[in-house]
Amino acid sequence: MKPKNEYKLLAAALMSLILIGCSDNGDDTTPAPPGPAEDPAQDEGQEQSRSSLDRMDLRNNVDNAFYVNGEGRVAEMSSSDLSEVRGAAKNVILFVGDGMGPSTVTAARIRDGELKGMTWEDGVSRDFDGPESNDLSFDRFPFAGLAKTYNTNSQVPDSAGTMGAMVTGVKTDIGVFGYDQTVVRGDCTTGNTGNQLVTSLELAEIAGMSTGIISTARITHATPGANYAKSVDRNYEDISDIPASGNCFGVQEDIASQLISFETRLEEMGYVVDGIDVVMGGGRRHFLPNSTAFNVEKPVNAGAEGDRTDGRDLPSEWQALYPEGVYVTDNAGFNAINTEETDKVFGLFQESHMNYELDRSNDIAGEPSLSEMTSKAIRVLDNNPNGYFLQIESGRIDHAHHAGNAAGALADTIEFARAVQTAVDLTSDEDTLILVTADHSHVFTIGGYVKRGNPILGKAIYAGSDAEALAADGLPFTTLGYTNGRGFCDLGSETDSDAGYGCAITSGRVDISSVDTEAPGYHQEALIPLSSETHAGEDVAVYASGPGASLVRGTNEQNVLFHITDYALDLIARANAAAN
Amino acid sequence: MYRTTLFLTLAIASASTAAGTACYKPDEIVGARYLISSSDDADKEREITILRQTPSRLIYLSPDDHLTQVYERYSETLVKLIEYFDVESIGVEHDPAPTHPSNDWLSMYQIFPASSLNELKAIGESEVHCLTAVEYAGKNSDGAHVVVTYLPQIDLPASIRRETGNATKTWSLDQLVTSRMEIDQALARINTYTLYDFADLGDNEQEDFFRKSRYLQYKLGHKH
Repeated sequence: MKPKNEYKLLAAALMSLILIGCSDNGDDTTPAPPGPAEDPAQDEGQEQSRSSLDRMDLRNNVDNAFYVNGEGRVAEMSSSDLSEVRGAAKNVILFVGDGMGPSTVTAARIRDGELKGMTWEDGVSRDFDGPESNDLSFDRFPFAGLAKTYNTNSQVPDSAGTMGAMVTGVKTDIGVFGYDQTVVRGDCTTGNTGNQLVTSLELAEIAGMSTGIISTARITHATPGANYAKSVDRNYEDISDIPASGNCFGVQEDIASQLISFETRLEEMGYVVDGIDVVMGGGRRHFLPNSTAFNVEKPVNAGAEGDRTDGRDLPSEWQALYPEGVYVTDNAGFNAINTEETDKVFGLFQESHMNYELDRSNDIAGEPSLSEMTSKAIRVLDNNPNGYFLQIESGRIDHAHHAGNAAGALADTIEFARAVQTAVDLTSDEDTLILVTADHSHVFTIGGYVKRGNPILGKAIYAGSDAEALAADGLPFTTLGYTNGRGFCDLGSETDSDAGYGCAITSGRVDISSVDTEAPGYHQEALIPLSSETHAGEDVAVYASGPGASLVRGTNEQNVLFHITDYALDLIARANAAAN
Repeated sequence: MYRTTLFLTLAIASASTAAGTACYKPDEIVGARYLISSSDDADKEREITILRQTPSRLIYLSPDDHLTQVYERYSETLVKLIEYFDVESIGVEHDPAPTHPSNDWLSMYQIFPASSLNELKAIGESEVHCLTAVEYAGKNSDGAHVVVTYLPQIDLPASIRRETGNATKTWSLDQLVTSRMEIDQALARINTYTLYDFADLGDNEQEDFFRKSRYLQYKLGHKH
C-alpha cells in the first residue's frame, strides 16, 4: 500500500522545484581577461576590447606566486559548465565537519601546511610556500558558498537542528531532529506523523540507492542520527536515556533502536528498501544490554559496557536481519572486510565516541581513521549501479573545541580533509557530488597581527620581529583563542582533549611565558568562563564538487543543502517513481 | 585523564580510632567508611565510604558532597570515572584514561597503596576488628610526616595521619562494610540518574546544572 500522508514528497518536490528554479540561471561567470586600468579618455561603459595585453606589462603581477595561483584557480573554475542538469549525479557524499567553522578551516589549513613542512622565507616577495598558502583538500573544490545555521528557536544552533535541516530541507528547533519546529523538545505528544520529516537517506533508500553513515562520534549522536531517526530529544540514544517520568517512555523509540528498525519502518509504510548498507562509528553502549556478558573491550570486572535496560542486543538483531552482513568492533575486523563481496557493514568501534585523531593510537583494540572508514564505505557502496548517498561526519572537531583544545580540533579537521581527499580519489566528479560543510561554528578565533610562518598554535610574534608580542597587560598571547569556555590549561603532551575537563575553569589571562602552547595538551585562554566552550552563530562554508556543485554559491539557508542533494540526484522524483 | 589522585588529596588520620570491637573475616569485607578531618577545617568532619563492587570496580560515597563516584579499571593504566551528583540526579561519564601516576588505581582501591608503605618504617603491630594491623611511620616522598595503621589482610588503612608544616589531615576508620546490600542500594540509586558523556557537556547547555557551572562548583568543592 502506498502511503499518502506520512511523507510529504509532493510538497518537498514543489519546494525543491521553486528553489532550484531560482538558482539554475545559467550565469556565465567567466571572468574578463586581465587588463590595465580604464583609460579615462575612453567612453565610460565602453567594454574593453583589448585582451592581448603583453604579460610583460604586468610582470610584477604575474611573476608572483599569488598571482599565478589565482590565475590558475580562475581558469580552473571558469572551465566548469555552470548549466547544471537535474539528476546528473549518480552519487552524493555529504561531509560534515561538526563545529568546523571558517576559523577552524583556516587554522587547520595552516597547521596542515606546517606538518607538510611548508615554510616561508621573510623578505622574499614571491614566496608562496608558507603554510598559510596551503590548501586542505576541499579548499580546491571549484564551488563554495555560505550557509546560515540558526535553528528555528536558537540564534546559535546545535547539531541536531542543523543536521536535520541539511537532510530534510526543513529547519527545526535546537536539540531535536526528524520533526519540524512545532515539536517541543522532550514532549512526545508534540512529535507525530503530522510534523515528521523525511530525510535524504530515506529517499535514497526508497529510490533503490545504497546508503551509508559514518561518524567518529557515537553513531546515535545528533549528526548521524538525524539521517535515520526521528527524536524529540537528541539525548534519547538508548532506552535508558528516556526519562521514566516523562511522556516519552514507552512511546518514543530510542535512536539506536531506530537504526536497527530503519528498514522495517519504511517497509511497514509500503516501501521496498533493503536497509542502510554501511554504518560505522562509535557508541556501542547504546546497542548492548546492561550486562557484562555482552562486553567487547571492557573488562567484565569493571562493569557492563552496554547501557540498554530492555535487555536487547541490537548488534545481534542487526546480524539476524542481515545474515550476510559484517559486524565489526575493531581494526582487525575492519581490515578484514572484503568490500567487493560485502553489501552490509555495521562497525561500532568504541563504547562511546571514537578517539580523537591525536589519541587514536592509544585505543585498546585499535580503530580505523575517518579516511579509512571513508575508503571502505565507498568501496562497498559503489557496487550498486543505482548509486549511493553517503553521509560522513567528523564528530570530534566539535568536542575538542568544547574542551577548549585547538590542537585536537585542528588534528581532527586535517584528518577530515584527508577523508574528503579519499572520496575525491575514489570517485569521479562526472557522477559524484561531494558536499563539504559544517553544521555550525565555534567561538574560536585567529587574532593578533601575527607574522607569516609563525606556528599557528604558538604565541603571537608580529611581522618584523622575533620577540613574542606582549599585550597591554605585559603578557604574551596565542594566535588562537576562545571567546568562552574553560580557558587556560597546560596538559603538555596529553592527546585526549577531554582531559581539559579535569582542569579548573580559568577565565581570562594567564602568564604563558614559559608554557609550550604548541603541545597537544595546551588549552587556549578564554574570556568568558563557562563549563564548556560553546558553538557560534556565524555562517559556515559549503564546498562542492561534481554534478550540481555550481548550485553552491552565495549565502543560503543551511536547509538548501537538501535541495541541492535532491537536484543533483533528482532524488524525490526517483523515490516517487520507485514507490509507484 | 588528568585527575588528581585520591591518594594525593586524601587526608590522613590517627591510628588509634578504629571503631568498635566486632571481629570480621577478611573475605566478608566489601568496603569501609572513614571519617576525615583536617586542621584547616577543624570543625568539619567529613565522611567517605569506599565500596568494592569487584576488583576492578569501586564506588565512593561522599554524602557530605552529595556525590557518588564510580571508578572502573580497564587495564593496568586505564581507569574510567563516572561522577554521580546526588542532588541533581545527574551523572557525568568520562572516557577511560591513563592514570597519573601509574599506581593511581591502587591509590583508589587501597586508599594508601601498599607499595607506598615501603617509604615508611614499620613501628608496631596490633589488631583492629580482629584483623592484623601494622603501624608505619616516616616521611614520604613529598616530605610529609605520615603515620599509617594498615590492615594488610584487606589492603585498607585503619587510619592515616599526615602532617605537612602546620597542617594535619587524618582519615580514621569508622566502620567496615560487610553487606553487599550497601553496594546494591548505591547502584540502584545512581542507575536512575540521567547520564551525560563528558565530551557532550557542550551539547547540553540546556541543562541548568552545566550551564550555570554548578558542575564546576562541585568539582572545585569536592576534596577528599
